[in-house]
Amino acid sequence: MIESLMSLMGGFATALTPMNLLFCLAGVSMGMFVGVLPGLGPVAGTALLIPMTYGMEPVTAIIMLAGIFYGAMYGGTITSVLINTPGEGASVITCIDGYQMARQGRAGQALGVAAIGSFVGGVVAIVCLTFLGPAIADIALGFGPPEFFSLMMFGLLLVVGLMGKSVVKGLIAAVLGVLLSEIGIDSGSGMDRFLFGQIELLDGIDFVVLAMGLFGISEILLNMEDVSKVAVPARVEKMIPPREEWKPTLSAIARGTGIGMVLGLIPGSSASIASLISYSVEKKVAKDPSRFGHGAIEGVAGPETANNAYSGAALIPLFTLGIPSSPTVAILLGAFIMHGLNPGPLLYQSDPDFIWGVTASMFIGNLLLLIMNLPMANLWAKVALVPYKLLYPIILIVCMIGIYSVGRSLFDVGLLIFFGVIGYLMKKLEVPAAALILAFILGENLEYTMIQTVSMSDAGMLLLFQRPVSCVITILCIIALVISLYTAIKQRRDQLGDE
Amino acid sequence: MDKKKISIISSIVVIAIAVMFLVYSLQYSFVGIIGPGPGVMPFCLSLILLVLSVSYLITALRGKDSIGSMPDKKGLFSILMILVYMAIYVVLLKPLGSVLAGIVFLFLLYRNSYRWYTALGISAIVSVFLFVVFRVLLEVNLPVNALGF
Repeated sequence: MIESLMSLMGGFATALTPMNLLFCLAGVSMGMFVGVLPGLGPVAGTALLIPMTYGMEPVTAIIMLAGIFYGAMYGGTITSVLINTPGEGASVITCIDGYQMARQGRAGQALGVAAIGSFVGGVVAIVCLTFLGPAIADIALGFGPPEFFSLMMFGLLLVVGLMGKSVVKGLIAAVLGVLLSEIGIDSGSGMDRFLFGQIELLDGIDFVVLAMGLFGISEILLNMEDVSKVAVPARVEKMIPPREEWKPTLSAIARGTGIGMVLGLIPGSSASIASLISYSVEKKVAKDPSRFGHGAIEGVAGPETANNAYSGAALIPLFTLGIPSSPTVAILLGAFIMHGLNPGPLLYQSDPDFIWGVTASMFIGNLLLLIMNLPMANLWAKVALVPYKLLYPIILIVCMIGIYSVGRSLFDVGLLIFFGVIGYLMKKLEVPAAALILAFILGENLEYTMIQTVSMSDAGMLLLFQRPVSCVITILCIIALVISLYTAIKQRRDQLGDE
Repeated sequence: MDKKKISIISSIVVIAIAVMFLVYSLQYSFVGIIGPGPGVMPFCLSLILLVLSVSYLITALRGKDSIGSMPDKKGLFSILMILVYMAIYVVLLKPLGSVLAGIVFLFLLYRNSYRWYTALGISAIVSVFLFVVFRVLLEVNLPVNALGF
């Protein structure tokens, strides 16, 4: 514990250098920006800025990109409360009571408790990362290929099971993701695979191209069907709630922190699920549940805390095991790899300056966000008024220039457009793109650990059942798959019954 | 086109992708230096994909697949135009240089929303700004024309 504290102090020395501080501010501001703007979520926002980090030191780049991730959670609240338009998925639930509070002239209080709750949730999650991270990494140091293979499979299956409506479509997306990751030179044999006559595919598909296409371009194409109308934001005054509301608010914040923390550790869950569960819990424990939907302050405090606690906690499996739990974290993992870092238990030993620098920067980032949100909420609300018709061409051209700068290849820009169309079709067909990107990023490691597992003994893949940790995780994988399939079959039967 | 037809077509496309990967994976060795060769994983995956896509096709044929609402003609036209403009940008980027290609691309998108001179002004300002940010500040080697921009 003392060791973690000392390391964190060292991290502050890294995070507080003028350059890192500047990029932390840039990251959280960008996060606020993508959170406030409807139609540009944190996944697309993070993917969009990755090309800009090429020339940066890895620690500076990840400080900025992580800032976008947790900053977006703060930003999404403002438009949910003021104009009833969630900037990102996790803030949808805040619209219910937040907007009602705004209509009652309590917009300031809604934003105030949301900002304080977000700060508490975010900071508690980072404290846990500080103290739990090294402990989990120590345990994971004893893991071999079978354990990592089963862990990655578990993460993927949970994503497939929890995201999207159909297990079959989720599995199709995941399998396609791994297949796409196999395009290019195979690192094990040195053989090129699936080039389809295109020499440009020799280096494989760049994950930024895939992420930006599937999440950025597709989102714009989707918005083009019907460009949303912009509403006028409510006025923000008096941000502290009356004294009698402090107790229920603080309790909601405490519960939201717990819910967000636990869900952040589970791959496949999302900040939206954390907010939704927190809202249901608040409604259940409330003395008068009928207030919910009509401006209950706990309905804002709980979910907003939960989604920020989630985003901090979601970094724990990334830093310690190298396993992303959500699409945005998967993009962060891609950025780690791009900057030559290998997330996982060894990172704490091989690159402590990096890991503690990023952790410390998140404390600073959350503080910056609290300042940005309490006195400057009105200013951010104005950002939502930037007309989409002015904004989307700029996003498109930044995407294309960004992709060109990755590999200096027009082929990549063409691929970006192609994956943009694929992402659009996937959304229309309700195939979860998140499962595809997660599988794509884990694909190479999945194959590598599979080959190593098979070569380790004569038992082949049965080795997974002969080692205690991998055996437990593999059984969990099977349970996750069976439950997902059972739920899908049951839903179909219920549908048939209804008909 | 109705939703059932769209589901059936998309499941057939996935079957075609699975078959394509399956055929390609047979070209690679199944035995490697330390264990399974480069063909094993792709072969298994494309086989799984084939099974999944056939299951998808069966669901689609039964009319039980759930998909989102499709765009109307106007929405579809807007999407197609954006894709065409993006393709034009890719074609023009090298011969015209990034600033001029950017102006053309942005002008095509802005011209329906703003008066032509406002659209041209915004396009020029944004293109030059992005050129400065990427080429000068981030030192990205963007394509330039004979005049250097």
